[in-house]
Amino acid sequence: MGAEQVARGARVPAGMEALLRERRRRQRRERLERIVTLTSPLILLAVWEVVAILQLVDVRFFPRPSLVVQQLVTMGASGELWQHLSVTLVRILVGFVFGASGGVVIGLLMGGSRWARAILNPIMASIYPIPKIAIFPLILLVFGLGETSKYVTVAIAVFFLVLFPTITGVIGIPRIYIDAGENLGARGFDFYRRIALPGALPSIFTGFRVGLGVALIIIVGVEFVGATSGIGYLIWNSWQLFNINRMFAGLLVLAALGHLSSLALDEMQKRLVPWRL
Amino acid sequence: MESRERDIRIAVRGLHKVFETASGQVVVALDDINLSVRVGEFVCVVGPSGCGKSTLLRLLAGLEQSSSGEIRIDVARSDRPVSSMIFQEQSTFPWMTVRQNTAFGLDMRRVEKRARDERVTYYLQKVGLSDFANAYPHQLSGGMKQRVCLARAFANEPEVLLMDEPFASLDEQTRILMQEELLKVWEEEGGRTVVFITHSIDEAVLLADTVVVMSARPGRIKATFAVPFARPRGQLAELKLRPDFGQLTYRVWEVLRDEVLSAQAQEMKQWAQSR
Repeated sequence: MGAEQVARGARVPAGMEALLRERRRRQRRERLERIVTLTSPLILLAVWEVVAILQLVDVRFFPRPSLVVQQLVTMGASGELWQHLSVTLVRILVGFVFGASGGVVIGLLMGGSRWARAILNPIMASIYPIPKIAIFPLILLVFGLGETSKYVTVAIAVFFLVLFPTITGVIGIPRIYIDAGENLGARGFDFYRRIALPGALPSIFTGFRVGLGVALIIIVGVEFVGATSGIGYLIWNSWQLFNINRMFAGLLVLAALGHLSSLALDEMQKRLVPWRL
Repeated sequence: MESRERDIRIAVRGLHKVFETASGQVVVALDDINLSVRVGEFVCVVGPSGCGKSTLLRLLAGLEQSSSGEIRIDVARSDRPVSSMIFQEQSTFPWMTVRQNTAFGLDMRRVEKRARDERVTYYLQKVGLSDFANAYPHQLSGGMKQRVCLARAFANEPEVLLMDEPFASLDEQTRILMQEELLKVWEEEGGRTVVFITHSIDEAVLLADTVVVMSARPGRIKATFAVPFARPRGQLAELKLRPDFGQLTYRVWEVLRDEVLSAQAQEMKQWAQSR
């Protein structure tokens, strides 16, 4: 019994108590950080609410957040919100999927082949700097007033923002992986699918991130001038009708949309890029 | 005579490699290399750094083109790849698991799935990585990553294994174990031809049937030593204790010494010129 006591005592290192204390302190700090992160926007809203109630700002332009939320709930109940939201979501999604896949495919090709790069680079580089919203009128002429023109505008913007990171991603793949792949027989399509694409994926995701953000900007711009539905239209129309609460409700939805899409990308990246280069 | 011809796996005749550096300097990397490697022979090539031994290996692998001369690798079975290379740098694909890495060569050859999985499982077990089949390389140590490369090359069942200082970046203790491991897997396999590049004389004598010594740039073959130790070689540390091991490494060093000195002199001259 005595010997076991000694043995057990010997197994507990002297610093154990301090270690546990340190861990508890760290956990407490992390919990506090999370709470602060979650509450800081709420505190801002609360301050805004108070300032609005006290009429320290012009409430015609900066209505009380509670009224905006109330407006949002009303629009949700009437179905107006979902109708506009779904239209905008579909436009972003369709445009993004087409633009991003085009960007990845052409980007892989240009990254992997000197010839493709020599032929396509001057064309891409000269179209890229044009602000994509500027060609919306042209796209309207070609594709008409329907949904297609919205998809195309988003797709073109996203295409370029994914294309260039994809090219740099492929070019940046360390030489050793190209050699190893070639030595093991990866040629043609195999090379693009098993080496170039996964090797460039971290860089491609940077393109996705920027592309999705710009898709949101583009679609709102397009809906301002060329649509009769969608969140962008909702905001523009509310301004025209001077329904400020409704306008802020639209802005709130956009903020949420931007935040959620970024979270969705994070999740996707975690699944598709489980390694570190 | 005819049967001896048939025993030759790699025949290199009058091989030259000349290239131009970025600054426009013309460098003769390999100058008239002649080399024969028998079927199932383990050849180690040692030489001072910069002597073109890696270039020789890359030429054998087909990763680079020679300037002139001939490389013939006899292929016994056309359904198998000619060569698989094990690189000095970390070359496991970071985006594939250990299992996917090991299966890669077989995937590229469209080996049927069941045969592929069987072979991959077998070689992963051989190199002691069965428990790490689903891990990604970034979760492994340097030594374990090189094991993956060994498994990947062996599983591909090439006619020739080409190794470019595969253990050079490992710490010494890991390196000794890896050398034993390599010999064990290779000896059990039987008959696979190996060309192994190293700058370590010890390593060359421990592993090889034949040690080829290359000269300083331009790379030529300066001497060839037959290594008499029986196989399986077992514990390499024991081999190192034998007096004939010490004598052989010394004889190799005697030949190599002048070349290392001349390589150093070249470096100094280049450095002086660049000022």
